[in-house]
This record gives sequence, C-alpha cells and structure tokens, in this order.
Amino acid sequence: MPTFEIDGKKITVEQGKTVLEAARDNGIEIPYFCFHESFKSGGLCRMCLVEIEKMPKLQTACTTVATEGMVVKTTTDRVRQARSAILEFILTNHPLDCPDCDQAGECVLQEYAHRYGPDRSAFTEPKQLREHIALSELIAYDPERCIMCERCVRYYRDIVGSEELAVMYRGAHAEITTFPGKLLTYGYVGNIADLCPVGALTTSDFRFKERVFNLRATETVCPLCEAGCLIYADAKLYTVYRVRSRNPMVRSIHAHENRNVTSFYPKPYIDAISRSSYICDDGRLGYKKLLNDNHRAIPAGPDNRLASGNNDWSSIIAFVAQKIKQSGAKTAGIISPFATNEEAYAFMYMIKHAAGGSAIGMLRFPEAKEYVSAGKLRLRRGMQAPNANGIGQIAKAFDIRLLSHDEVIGSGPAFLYILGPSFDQMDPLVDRLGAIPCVVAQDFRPSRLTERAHIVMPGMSYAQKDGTYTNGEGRVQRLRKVVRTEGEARDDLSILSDIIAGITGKRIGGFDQVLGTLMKEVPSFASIDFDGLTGDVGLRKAAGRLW
Amino acid sequence: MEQILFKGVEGAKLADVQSYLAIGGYGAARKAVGSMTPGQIIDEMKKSGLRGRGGAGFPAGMKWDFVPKDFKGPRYLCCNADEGEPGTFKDREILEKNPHLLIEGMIIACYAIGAELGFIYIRGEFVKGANVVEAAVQQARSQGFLGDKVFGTDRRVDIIVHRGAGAYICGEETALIESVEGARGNPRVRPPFPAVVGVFKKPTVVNNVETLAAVPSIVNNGGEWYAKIGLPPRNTGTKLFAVSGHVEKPGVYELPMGITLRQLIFEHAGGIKGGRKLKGVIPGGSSTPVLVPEDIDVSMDFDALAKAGSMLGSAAVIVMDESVCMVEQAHRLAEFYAHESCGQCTPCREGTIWQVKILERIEHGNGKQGDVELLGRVSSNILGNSLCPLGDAAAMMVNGFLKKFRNEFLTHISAGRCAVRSVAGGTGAGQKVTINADL
Repeated sequence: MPTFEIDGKKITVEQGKTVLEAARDNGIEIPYFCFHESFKSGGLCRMCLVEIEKMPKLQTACTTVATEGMVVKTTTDRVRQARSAILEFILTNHPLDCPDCDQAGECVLQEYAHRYGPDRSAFTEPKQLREHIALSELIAYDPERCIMCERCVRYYRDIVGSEELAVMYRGAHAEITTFPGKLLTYGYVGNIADLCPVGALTTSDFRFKERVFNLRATETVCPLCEAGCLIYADAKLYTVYRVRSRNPMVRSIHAHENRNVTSFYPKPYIDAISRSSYICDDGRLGYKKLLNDNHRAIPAGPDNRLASGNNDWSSIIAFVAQKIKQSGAKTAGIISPFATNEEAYAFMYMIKHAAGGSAIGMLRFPEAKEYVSAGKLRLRRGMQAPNANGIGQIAKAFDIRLLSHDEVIGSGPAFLYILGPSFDQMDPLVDRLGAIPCVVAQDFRPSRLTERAHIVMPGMSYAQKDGTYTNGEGRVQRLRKVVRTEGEARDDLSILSDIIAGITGKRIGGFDQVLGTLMKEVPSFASIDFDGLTGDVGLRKAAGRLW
Repeated sequence: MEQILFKGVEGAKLADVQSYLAIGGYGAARKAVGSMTPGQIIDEMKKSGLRGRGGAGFPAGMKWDFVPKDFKGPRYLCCNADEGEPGTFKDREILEKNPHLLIEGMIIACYAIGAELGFIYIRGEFVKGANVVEAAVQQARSQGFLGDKVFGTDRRVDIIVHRGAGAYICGEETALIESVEGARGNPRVRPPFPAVVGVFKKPTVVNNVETLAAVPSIVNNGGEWYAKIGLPPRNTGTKLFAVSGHVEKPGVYELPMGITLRQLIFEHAGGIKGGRKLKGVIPGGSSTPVLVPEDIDVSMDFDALAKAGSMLGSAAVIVMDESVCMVEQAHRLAEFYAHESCGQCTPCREGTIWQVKILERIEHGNGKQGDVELLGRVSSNILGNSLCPLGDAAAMMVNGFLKKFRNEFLTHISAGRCAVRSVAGGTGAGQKVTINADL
C-alpha cells in the first residue's frame, strides 16, 4: 500500500493503482479521454499529463503506477499548458459545430475545452473533411469528430474479444474502421457509442432524435432477460429516447462532475456493477420497443354484465374483490415474470391468504438468445423476462409450488387473475379460457388476452413504476419510474393492494412497506441493505442463484 | 586508423561465410559461448563503455543487464535494422557487406541475455540487405553457428529475419516489437520497458545493428581495449558516420568517436561540393537540431553534441551548402514526420500536420506575421508531450531550424519569397538566376 503525494495531499492507495485512479478516488480531477477501467491504458490522448517530481517529462497519469514517496502535481503551469496544448491540437481538425452534434451536452471534449482549453485557436487552415462510415446497422462513425482515443477499438479487442474494429491509415489520416465490406457483428455493438467521449460514434436508434440535455437519466434495470443489466433510461415526459449501459466510467465522465465512483458505490456492489458495465444490443433497442403499444385504456369489462356498466376504477376493483371472495379456493392466478417482487408478493398474498386459492402459475417466456463473444462477454441469459428468479423465491416463501400456465388453466378455476404484462405469451392459450367463468387481465399492453378477458385493468409498464427485480444471479435490483403515465393506467401494486383491501379490509402498503415485509419474511431478501438498494443495487445473495 | 566494423570489408566479400571465417570470423562467438559465462560477457560490455548506436546512446551492457535474471521462460533479442531516419545509411553497409559480423554479435548477445531466438527487423526497402542477411543466416546455420547446438554446445540460438513494411515508426523499439508480433507498428507506453515486457510480453533486448556489430571485437579484445578507442570514458569506440548532402565524397566513414565535425566534413568527406560555402549541418539524422558553420568544431560524440544543442543520434551527417533554402528543408522534413506519425497520440498526430501546414504557407510565400512564433509554439507543445520520440523528433527538428535560421523564415514571410533560391539557384538548379533588387 504505497503512500504518495498529489497536490500536497497524502494518499495511500492499493498496490498497482495508477495515479489517475488514485486521484479520481480522492476527488482530484485529472482530465482524460482514452483511459477506461475495463481495458488496458494506452496513454494515447495525452490529456492526463501530470508533473511528477524527479521525472523530467510530464507523465500520463493513466499509465503511471503510484509508488511510495512519489510527488505528483496536477495544477502547475506546465500541466495547465500541456492540457491546453492537447485540447488545441484535438480541436484543430475537430468540427466546432456543437449545435449540430448529437453529443453536445454530454461531450467530454466540449466540457474539457471549456474548462482547460485555450479560449481561441491559432489554427486558421481549413479543417479536414471526411466521409461518414457505417460500422454496423446500428452505429455510424464520423471520422471528423473522432479524437482517436481508441476506446471502441480496445473495447472490441479486450472486452468483446474480437479484432473486428481497427485503426486504418496513419497520422492525421488515421480512422476507425471494420474489415472492408464487413459490418460489426450484432450483439454488443451499441456499447461503443456509450464509450465514445465525443460524438464520433452514434446509434441509429437515437441519433438526432432528441438533445441530451433535454433528457433525464434514470438509473434502472433492463428487463429483457434475467441478467438484469444496470442501465440508464433517458427520457422526456412520456417517452424513453435512449437506453445506455450504467458503466461507472461512462457515467462519471458524463456527469460533468468529479463523482467519486468507489465511494459512491458501497464496496460489495462494485464487482456487480463492473460486470454490468456493458449491455447487449437487444436490451438497448428492446427496452423501448416493448413500450411501444402502451395503451391508455380505461379499466374495462368487455362484458357489461360483469362490470354492471360501471367502468371506473373503484367499481371494477370492488367487483374483482367481490368475485375473488366468492370464488375462494377456486381462485387461481398466473403471474408474468415481468412483475416486480413487490407485486409478486401482493399477488401471492391475494390469491393464497386473502382468497385461499393455491393454483398459481408463472408465465414462461422464451429463452433469451445469447451472444457469446469469443467467450469473454456474455450478458444475455435465461428467460426473456427479468424476474423469474425473484418470483420463484417469493413463491417458495409462500410455500407455493409454481405451476405452468397449462396446469393452472387445467385446474378448473372459477376465477383466473392474470397479472401481466403477458405480451403475446398468453395468446395461444386464450381459446382455452372459455371454460373459466371470470378472467381478469391486468396488463399495460393490448393483446389477444386483453380482448378476451372479462375484465381488463390497465397496469403500468416497467418504465412507469417503482419496484425491485431479482436477477438470475440472485441480485435484488431497483427498478425505477422513468416516464410519466398517460390515461387511466394505475400502478400494478396499488391495484393489487386495493383489491386485497377490498377482500380483507387490510392494506399491505406501497413499494417501501412491501419491500420491508419481503425483507422480514422472505429469506433471500433478509440480507439486503436497504440503503444500498434504494441507492443502486441490492446485495448479491448466494441463495436462489441460477449461475 | 583501426577499423572494427568495416575491418576486412575492402576487397573481400565478407557476406560469404568462408571469407568471413578467413579473417578470424566467429572466433568471438565461439569464445563467448565456449568459455565465457553470460555474466562475464555483460561485464566486458560494461567495461567497454559501448553506448547504443541507434540514437539514444544508452549503455549497451547496462541494457543487457536489465533483463531479469530469474525470469522463467523465453527472452528475445531484436536487432533494429529498420534504418529509416532521413540521412542515415550506416546500418545498410553492415547488412549488405558484413552480415556475419552482425550475426556473430547477435549470437553473443543472445547467449549473454539468455535468449534462444533473435529477430533481425530489417527495413522493408532494404531488399538487397535482407536477401544478403537471410543468405548469411542460412550459411551460419549450416555451419552450426546457429541452430540447436551452437558451436557444438547445448546452447540453442536462432535468428529470424523479419522484413518491415515501410513504416518509419517501426524503428522505434516498442513499435518494432509490435510489428514483430504481427500487429500494427504502434509504439507502446514505457514503462514497462522492453527489457521487462517486450516481444510476446517476454523480456527483450532491442539493439541497433551497429551496436551488435561492435560486440565481437569487444569479446575478442576485451572491454578495456574497446574503452581506449575514441573519447573515454563516456564516448568509446568507433562510430559509423553517414555523410550525405553537399560534400565531395559522401559515404559511410568508420572513425573513432570524438573527431570533430569539421574534420569529418573537410578531411574525410572532401569538403563542400563545388567549393561552395557551408550553410548548415544536421549532425545526427533528420531529427537532430541543425548546426551552423560556427558550430562545426564540435566533437562528434554524445555529450559534446548535446552540449552544443543537438544530438549525435544516428550520426547521419547531412551537409547543406549555401544554395539550400532552410524553410524548404524544414518543410520537407516536417512532411516526412507528419507522414510517418502513427496517429496514436494527440500532439504528434495533430501537431506534425499543423507544422507542415504552417511551413507550407511560409515556403509558398503566404506566411503571416506571427507564423514563426506560432510554429515555435506548436513545436514546443509537441515536445515532451508525445507518446514516443517521433513527436519529439519533429519538434526538435523544427525548433532547430527556427533557432539557427530564424531570419530566413522571417524574410520568407516578409518578402513572400525565398531569398536563397533566387540568388544562388539553390535546389532548383538550372533555373535562371536573377537578383531581385527589392530584396
């Protein structure tokens, strides 16, 4: 554990830490473009030059390992001059059309140019013009904006494990390219747009759709498979515009402030987060895609006989509560693995304790297609739904054996409550629902099921509500409200809570209370650090671990 | 005067192993492998004071000693024969005329550092040199000097001749290593130095051709003998000086360290061509700052030239007479560096091309007031901030021209034309000479 001095501050760091990391962890900002924790430093951008005593030249902080007794200075005139010089060099051939660039507002170069750059450039020649290149269907590359930090190349080489991306040409003509005529293989392409510190790499999914400074980033979880990658969902009002990986590095440079990553995240979570540094393309695109048909319907009983013509929430809830009471033990339920842990708890409580039923099934979603890249990056896993593991654990705590949806329908229930979203997974079974006297669907998305069900209650999508998901690894993670809700839709947990109140007269409470109950009653929730959870990620638990 | 590297080259065809053996060749390697320990060889090397001939002048014995002794696994030797510095053509002479001397030096070096494999990274344009060296390696192999049983011992040493693909940057040792590995020749960050992490992440010594060629004589005669030649204690041995430009007898001269630049130009190279006046000399390859006639009494060694504000570098002496336009010269060299910059690091990638643009407009008569200062500032901003020495070289070169010939640049800008070429005919020889009264 060497102790060294930086800007007059004595710092003790782990053996092998670089000056850059040590400085950042201690709230001293050293600007950089090319450094990234996940891969080998190249010392390429030269932005992190610092003065180190006994060394005649300025040294790159990203490649210099802190050693005992080292004296580092980051605020001297020499360092300032070097930073200003590097920025002036970068800007000689970089377009100065920030209003036209998609990165403006989260551009590291823009930020540094303001903070460390010269106020004007002596460069008077015309800038180099270059053609845009498509690196894949998802990614466009603008060589003019590229600052050759080679993060994308190193990400492909070190993380994805393939040499698909490389530097072509030399000197000022250098640019990033793929093999002639080849595009990047689908799977983990989108991450390079997150890694790009400038606007050189953009996704076709987001490009020119919205200015980033109009978006609000919410830390949430990707629901597209059981891996449960941590993401940012960037949204404005009702619309999610973009999904990004919650890579701590990407975040810390995009946050425009010197956030201290290691102290921001409690230690045990660091490991979990770094595994989730990248997301797959399916998640990046799918998060928005699944939200497309969010309907704004009012709660409805298509069969007016059942709803007595009163299609308002309180009547419907009262009616459903009444029906459940009547059906008693013949009440059955099917839960979607998209339901949060809290909803799952409320749902099972409702069916088992409030109604006395026992037939509860979980919808099966198809297995996610895995993209395994040269054996190194493997993110998509398990079912194409986020919470099968969590629901299984809660069912176990309720002493419920989760049935398949076939078995539930086959058990001949008098009342079937389907807690969605089912997407189209229930469609093949819809015709078999005819025998059931009353089918209730709580779903945010129209499907054959919602056409067929006797009562439909519009719930919310994963982008509209709070909750927790337990990923396949057993990690409890926080799902957050990203966008506003339109129409009559209500939070799923509150619908369930109201129905339970209608049956038993007792309220189970909102998200916080239910999570508190889960922590008391379900063993695998017992060790969750609630602060950590509301902050970011729940403690990783060995129990209920799938892989 | 005693010749070490060129000994016997005159007349004899030393590229053939029999002729080389006839003058006592491979005796040193046989002696080293047969009767010396690696430690003894390194000691002799240290005693000899031999400094690296590639340009930086790092003591060769010390470099060998840096290879971790307790490292388990292969180590490598790389011979840097990627001689691409403008003005430098000394190694080519050894490669084409005395390849066995190099091979012998490499056998000894491999033995001393514990390497079983050496690479000769040879400049792609040196087709003849590469062919000669490859043939020589074959001969050495068939003689049993290379292979599984070197000189009948259990030592294994072999050499692979690796041809470059035309990039100047691959002469930089870490870029050379990348290239040997089959990657794009991009310099690596140092530390770690190649002696610890080199070819295929194994300890590697990278030595210049001339350095390795000096090894057999040191083993034969002892380090102390070598240390007496030249300018002891810090600048020992003989040195190859590649003299080019406006001299009567351009060529490669093997002379002891410490002769003066004046002696070299006027005694050995026959003086300035056509009796014209000397205007400037680049003493150590294009990267080293230019000197003017007042400076040429400097001793040609590492320390004296550094004191004079330049460098010995590769000891490629480029002589320029009064007909040379220094702006044009700087522009041409700047273009070389911009073209050869690998593009990895910001200051070199963007700075070298900016230098070219400024020099181009000055040379074409479109220079602006303040361009000299700007050029100096751009160069100083590259200097010391780039990843590898290429950026430094470009900056030093331009700064050197600005320092010694500042007025010429200023005249170019204020008059909008070249004073030298219109007076002396200059490099545009054959043009009608006119003397413009406005100047």
